[in-house]
Amino acid sequence: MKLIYIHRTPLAAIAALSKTKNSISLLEPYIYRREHFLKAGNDAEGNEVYALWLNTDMLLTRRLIMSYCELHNISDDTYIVKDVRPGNFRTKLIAFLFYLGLPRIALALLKLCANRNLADPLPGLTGID
Amino acid sequence: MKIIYHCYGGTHSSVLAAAIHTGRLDTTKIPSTAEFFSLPFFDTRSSSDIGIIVQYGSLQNNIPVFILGRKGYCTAPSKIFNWLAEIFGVKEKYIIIDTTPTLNWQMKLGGYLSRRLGLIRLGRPFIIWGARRAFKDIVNLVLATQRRLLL
Repeated sequence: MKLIYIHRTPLAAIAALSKTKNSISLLEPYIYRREHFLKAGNDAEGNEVYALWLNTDMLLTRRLIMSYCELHNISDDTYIVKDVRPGNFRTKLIAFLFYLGLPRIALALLKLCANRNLADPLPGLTGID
Repeated sequence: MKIIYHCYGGTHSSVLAAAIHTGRLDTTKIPSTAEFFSLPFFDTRSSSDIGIIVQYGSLQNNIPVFILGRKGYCTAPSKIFNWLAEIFGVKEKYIIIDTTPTLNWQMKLGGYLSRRLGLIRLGRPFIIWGARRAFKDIVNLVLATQRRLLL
């Protein structure tokens, strides 16, 4: 199974990396990119986790992914697209900073959050199927 | 190999390009109003069809031709499809063509009135006026695509 996290900002990669328990530092080479895709690794269940961020309507991104899979006869059972939704003020602020083109500050804030709450640095970040 | 024509709503310029490419429209003369409206999907798709790829027809060598609406995000389809090809390991090639450079103000206004505002009777005369004016440009775009296919 492939899990594809989508968002308008690199928050998609942060959600994917937190799912795979990989370090957020993997994102650093790409934080200035307004659009990119990243293989975040495998999660605890062995699913391949990807992040895809692009400054477009998220519904369009989701539909394009589904259309592409339909076009190539890729079964619905082999992938899940998850919209990343910032659920609390902290994650909304981080997403907004990314959106403003201030990824360094967003990442610094994220690391600060991670240092203060090691167990779950982004409790408000949810992936919706 | 697959060919995908895309425009804002996937219902005007992309439909015309796909119709020309699949041989539904004669390229030597400008189509009549009836010919335009006899085309499948011409000025009929709504905002709920945005992002959904529809097969329009096939070429003689069985290459399928698709149409797609993608709002104002011109580069989104090719970028997302390239990433997905990497994710799913798809080797098949496709040609993705943005047909919006062929649009003129009449088609934009007509499309907005007809599709966005639902003022079909008001929008359609503008669409036909614009489609007639843009027809040669769309034919040239299709010819360029056909040349790319030969490479």
